[in-house]
Amino acid sequence: MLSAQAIRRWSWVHTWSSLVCTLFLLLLCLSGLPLIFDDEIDAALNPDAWSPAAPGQEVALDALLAAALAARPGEVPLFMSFDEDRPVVNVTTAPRAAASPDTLTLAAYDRTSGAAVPRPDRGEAVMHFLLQLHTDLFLGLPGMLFLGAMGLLFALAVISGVVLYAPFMRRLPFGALRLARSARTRWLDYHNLLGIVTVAWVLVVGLTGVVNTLAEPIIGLWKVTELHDLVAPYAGQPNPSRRSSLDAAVATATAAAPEMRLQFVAFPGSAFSTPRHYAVFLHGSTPLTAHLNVPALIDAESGAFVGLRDMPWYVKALALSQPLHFGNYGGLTLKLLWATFTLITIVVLASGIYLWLVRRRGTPRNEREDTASGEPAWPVTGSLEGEAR
Amino acid sequence: MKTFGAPLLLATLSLAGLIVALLDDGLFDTLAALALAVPLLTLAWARCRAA
Repeated sequence: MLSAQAIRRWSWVHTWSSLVCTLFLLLLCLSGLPLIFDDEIDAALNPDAWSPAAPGQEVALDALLAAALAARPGEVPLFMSFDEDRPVVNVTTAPRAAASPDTLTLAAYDRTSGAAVPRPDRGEAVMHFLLQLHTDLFLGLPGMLFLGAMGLLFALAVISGVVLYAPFMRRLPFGALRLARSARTRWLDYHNLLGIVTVAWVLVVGLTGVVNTLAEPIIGLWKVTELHDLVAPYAGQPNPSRRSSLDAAVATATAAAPEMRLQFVAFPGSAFSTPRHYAVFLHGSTPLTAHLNVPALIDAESGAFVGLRDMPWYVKALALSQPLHFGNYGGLTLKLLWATFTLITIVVLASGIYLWLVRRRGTPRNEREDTASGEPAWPVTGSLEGEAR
Repeated sequence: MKTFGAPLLLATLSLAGLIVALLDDGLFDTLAALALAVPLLTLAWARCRAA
């Protein structure tokens, strides 16, 4: 059992770790809610479904790449990705390989015909705004790291809340809601119950959010360690004077791991490759393995297979943090549950602020009547006894 | 420890739900949804009991 001093310390930790991060957590919950239903909102706002021109046929990737470059004269290709649920190839180009994100151009092409695929035009700007707000507050890496720090404070608030749950609930049965009591007691009970019942989900989503904020440093570390080791034998070789077939590179990579599927290609010089190689990223087909990428490097000049290496643990942790944070891996039912948990988290955050404000204003008369009747609104332990009076 | 009995059970079910949905689609998604629904049903039970 916690001593009075320990309770006082944990209470201080819970109060201040919560207060510092609550505003940002509310912002993250509110911006995250619509992001859970990104696909559904997109489908609802853009109901004119696109369909492939020639189902069953496949245009060569080299031809699609040529079409993309013809549409953006003078630019270089950075990435080519493949939609999961339709035969659409997305090509990212930029004025140069080391380009800033705002100069990138993304164009989609019908894999069956090579025709351009119109991008959804309704709602995309709003969803992009929300995603950016949720990810980095429009501040880039500093914003991401700041939100990561807020996430760590939130985890501390949750853990200290669990520690304090025991003395608060010492004389109450699990699930107690004293609805006939004062507003403060009612909201204290709601705060405790909603918080303890959702604690596992909240910690998982909160901590995976923290990991996601470290995406840039994690990918940077992978590049200077694992990727560097993989291409070290080719260091000093000149950049390719001409590029070999992209289709052949993809075929070579997929032949090296036939149980895996193609996810995207990073072109030479792009952020996920080297100046000399195609990096062909493959992934599995289950919800778990779909997020675990394996890059295969192909020499961009000769088309020779260079190597294929499993991602290190920290990149796998990042990859698994994404579905566990966004809840987009178990169908609509899981998304609805995710949204419900998010709404409950908003209530816990708001009720926490309410309880703090009421406590600062002092104990109201009906609160004193509550505690006088037998059951404490606050734990009757040591120094907190004063709060129950 | 008695205080944490029900919360521990609910936390275990929540974690199981989060992980099971990652393993595969179909039945795994259903099992995950059921496990994650238990904490929410517990809230409904507590509210009904208190009313």
